[in-house]
Amino acid sequence: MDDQEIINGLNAGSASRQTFEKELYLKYVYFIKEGIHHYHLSHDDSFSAYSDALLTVVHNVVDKSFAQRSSLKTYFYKIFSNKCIDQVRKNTTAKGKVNNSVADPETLVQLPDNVRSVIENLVENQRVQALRQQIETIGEKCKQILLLFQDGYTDREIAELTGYNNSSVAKVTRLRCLEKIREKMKGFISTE
Amino acid sequence: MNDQLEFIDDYFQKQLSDEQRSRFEARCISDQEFAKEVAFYISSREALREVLLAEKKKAWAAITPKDLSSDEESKPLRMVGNADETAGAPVRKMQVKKWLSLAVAASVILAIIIYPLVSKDSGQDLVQNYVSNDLSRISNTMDASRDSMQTAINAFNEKKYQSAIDQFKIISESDPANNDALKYLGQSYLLAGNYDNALESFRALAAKPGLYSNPGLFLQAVTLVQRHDDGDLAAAKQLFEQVVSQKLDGEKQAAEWIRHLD
Repeated sequence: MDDQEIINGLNAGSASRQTFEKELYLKYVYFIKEGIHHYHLSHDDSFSAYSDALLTVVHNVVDKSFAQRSSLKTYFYKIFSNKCIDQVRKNTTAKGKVNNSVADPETLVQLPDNVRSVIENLVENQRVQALRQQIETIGEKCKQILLLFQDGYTDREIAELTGYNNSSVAKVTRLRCLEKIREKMKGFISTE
Repeated sequence: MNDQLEFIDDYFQKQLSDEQRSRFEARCISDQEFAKEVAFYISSREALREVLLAEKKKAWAAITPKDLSSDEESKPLRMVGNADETAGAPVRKMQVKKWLSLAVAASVILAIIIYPLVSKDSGQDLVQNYVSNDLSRISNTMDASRDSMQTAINAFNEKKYQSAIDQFKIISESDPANNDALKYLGQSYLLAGNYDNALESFRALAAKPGLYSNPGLFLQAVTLVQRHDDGDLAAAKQLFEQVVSQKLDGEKQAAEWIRHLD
């Protein structure tokens, strides 16, 4: 299957998304060996970098951030290389073990530079880990909706997949689920 | 429902008008409580991404081909064959595909060895091709989604080199840790034909300590070949040799080009 077919398949709607995501995963899975040989990563670290890169690529294809100015393979490999370098840094610097900042959360990079520097200081790894625990406590339905949203599905697609009447209901429910997490986080004491 | 949360969600979903977006961004700076709400939203999205990735990894690990699974390297070659075929001693069969892969790999290696010997391209042609094909475009990585970098990269890709130079210069001066901006500044000078400034940028890049990946030295050599003043080719060759001996970025190309620079 060529790259254009994969791109078209990923954009063809929620029903075909998983199939083409799997195709993309298998097509370039040999990058994992590249991560092991070129960046001297362990298999697990290279697999993590590859998975992380794949998730980013799929989202960028779906939300059209990938403008196809380069081939999908080149684009994927560039992101994979960056993820490998992140892994190397994490493994080799003592800073990686104690760092409490979150390196470039994908949502954060949408902000302009001056705003990002303000918000960046308020986003802490410790808090993200606490939030991660709370996600497991909000109920399966809420978790499913939030994960679908995070996976790039639109509110309309979420409504179709989860049986809500329309996208507005899906959106309201999704935001209520987020509020639920915030309520649970009230007990979390920040280090700021 | 919390209107503030919806406002934040709409911003990141690109549902707001330009005016609303400006209001949102100004509020992040002036209103600490609002900034905390935005930080909560971003932290939640990051936490969700981590949970999602963990789930995807489980599913993807299950479909990873055997030869890429973590314990494959320690496994002995698999014994295949049915009862009839293995009536005597078990036969060790290597799959046809593997032979084909080996044959292809051998041909590629042979081609790599032979090509430079028969190729009539001069080192300068090879470097020129490299500059035209590999350095004339900057790919849009995630990092490029930062506004100022994105704008500068766009200017570069549209061949507006002076504009790219001005922008990369501002970014690298205001954020000395942004090594990409410094590299792209050098690239912009190089493509604009301003070799002296390109060399200065690449020298500064090469001098950055502790970088895992640093193409500074390699790009200095490329620039010297492009400038082609007296002594430049010899100096470039020395730099390429240094890149090879120290296994720096660009090692493979440098090893190939050295043979053509005599």
